[in-house]
Amino acid sequence: MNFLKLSRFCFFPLTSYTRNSFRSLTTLLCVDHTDGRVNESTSHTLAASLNIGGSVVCLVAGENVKNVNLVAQSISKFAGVSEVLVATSALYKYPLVEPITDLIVSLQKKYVFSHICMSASSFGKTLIPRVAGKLDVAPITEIVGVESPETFIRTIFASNAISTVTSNDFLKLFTVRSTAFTTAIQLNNSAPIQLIESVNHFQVSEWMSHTLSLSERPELSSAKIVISGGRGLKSGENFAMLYSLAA
Amino acid sequence: TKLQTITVMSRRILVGCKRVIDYAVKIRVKPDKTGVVTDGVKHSMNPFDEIALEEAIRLKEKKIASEILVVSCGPTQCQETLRTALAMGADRGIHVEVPYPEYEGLQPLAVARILQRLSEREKVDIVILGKQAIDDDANQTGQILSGMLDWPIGTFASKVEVVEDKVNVTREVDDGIENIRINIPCVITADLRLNEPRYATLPNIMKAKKKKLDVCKPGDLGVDITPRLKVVSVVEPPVRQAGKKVEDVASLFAALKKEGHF
Repeated sequence: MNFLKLSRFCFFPLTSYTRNSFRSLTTLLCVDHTDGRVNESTSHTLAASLNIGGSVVCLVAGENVKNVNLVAQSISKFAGVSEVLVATSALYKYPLVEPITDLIVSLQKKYVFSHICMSASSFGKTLIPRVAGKLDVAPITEIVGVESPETFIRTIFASNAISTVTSNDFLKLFTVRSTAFTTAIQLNNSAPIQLIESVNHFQVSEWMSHTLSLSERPELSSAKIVISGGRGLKSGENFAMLYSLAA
Repeated sequence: TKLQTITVMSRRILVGCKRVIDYAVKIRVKPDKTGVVTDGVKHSMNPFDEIALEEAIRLKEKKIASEILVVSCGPTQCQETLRTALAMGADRGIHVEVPYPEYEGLQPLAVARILQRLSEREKVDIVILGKQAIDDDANQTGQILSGMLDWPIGTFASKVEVVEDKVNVTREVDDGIENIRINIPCVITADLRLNEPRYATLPNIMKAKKKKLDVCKPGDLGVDITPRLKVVSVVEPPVRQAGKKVEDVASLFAALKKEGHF
């Protein structure tokens, strides 16, 4: 039986809880994936989502059926994932936020999630607040901590201050700073994978090209070790020491 | 004789200019943990908004845009920010008045709603905003606005090129550079490398005094600015541990290994 349907029948004892407590907590996590692989940022975002305490439903949208299914299979193994929704369409071939916004808005109408999130990747940072605009909800961006289903921690003033905020909106929309959370664990889970319909979308944007910045070094947010230099190095030539250390 | 047709696109651009604590100021967290000290602290236009405005002015110089409208939401001092924008080259300013203490609760969702109403009322074609404000570091307003207007968006723009009724936006993304093409009307958010903003010259500062600056309230636009997010606390980050100096790379590895880092 679909877990989401089951959760609506859960009995909550009558107390003076706030309205939020009567609803079951379900987070929709939009998966960052590349070429059939789940991006590392998604794993950390899943860990953050599990801190909310409810069930987590993962959304995988893409065009290549084989790759999308590989991603779905992979994410379904993570502990805490209750269901995987898969949408395959030419609309989702490229990382354009406009078609996916419409998809998520439609899913929200159907499933009424309590939380929707994505990693604070370039895509997630662009998508989540746009969805918030459509749903008239205040997004909470780049969280570094979860205190409760309503309360989140984020940095301000270039991390010179830390702010804790509470949202009383019916839906919480947030992005996750991956480096602030551990990775979720892949266990012997096998969450059900459900194929869903793509949503009609009138194209207003077009993906043209992508130039990868080629480096033998890992990308910053997924690097295991980060070294940096500053004024202590005293001159441009001394930065060579950093490069030889990194090698 | 050959008839030369000069097509002047009469695009109207709206640019948001937020007044923020100056980037060079070392901020202090209030002891009561309610926020950051702003009284008597130097403020200036959000650097990303200056870049957004500079791009709009360049589009006007290229005759792609015919009018630049600058908007700032906040207390009376925002008019100084707007005057700077007008001195740089904007045509008209709108100050959406939000006095203290309400201003402390003004959040991106409400600002986006204000900009939506203004964009519709003023028949704006392109909205250019800074990618984020250097105080809240939210990185939301442009995206929220594009959702409210149902317009496409190009965030983290490092290059903007208007071609007929579309905009080619080059974006800085996690693993490199991405090129997208979005329909006008659209929203663009400016990243650091988009351009280097000009300084307002003294003659332009004087000329700007004659430019139009209208004042209105959020209520006039039918916008409720009640904050959705409640700030529970604002604290300083944990104190950084002092670093240790080692003699050479071998000692560094030994120290890292000893502390169990690998």
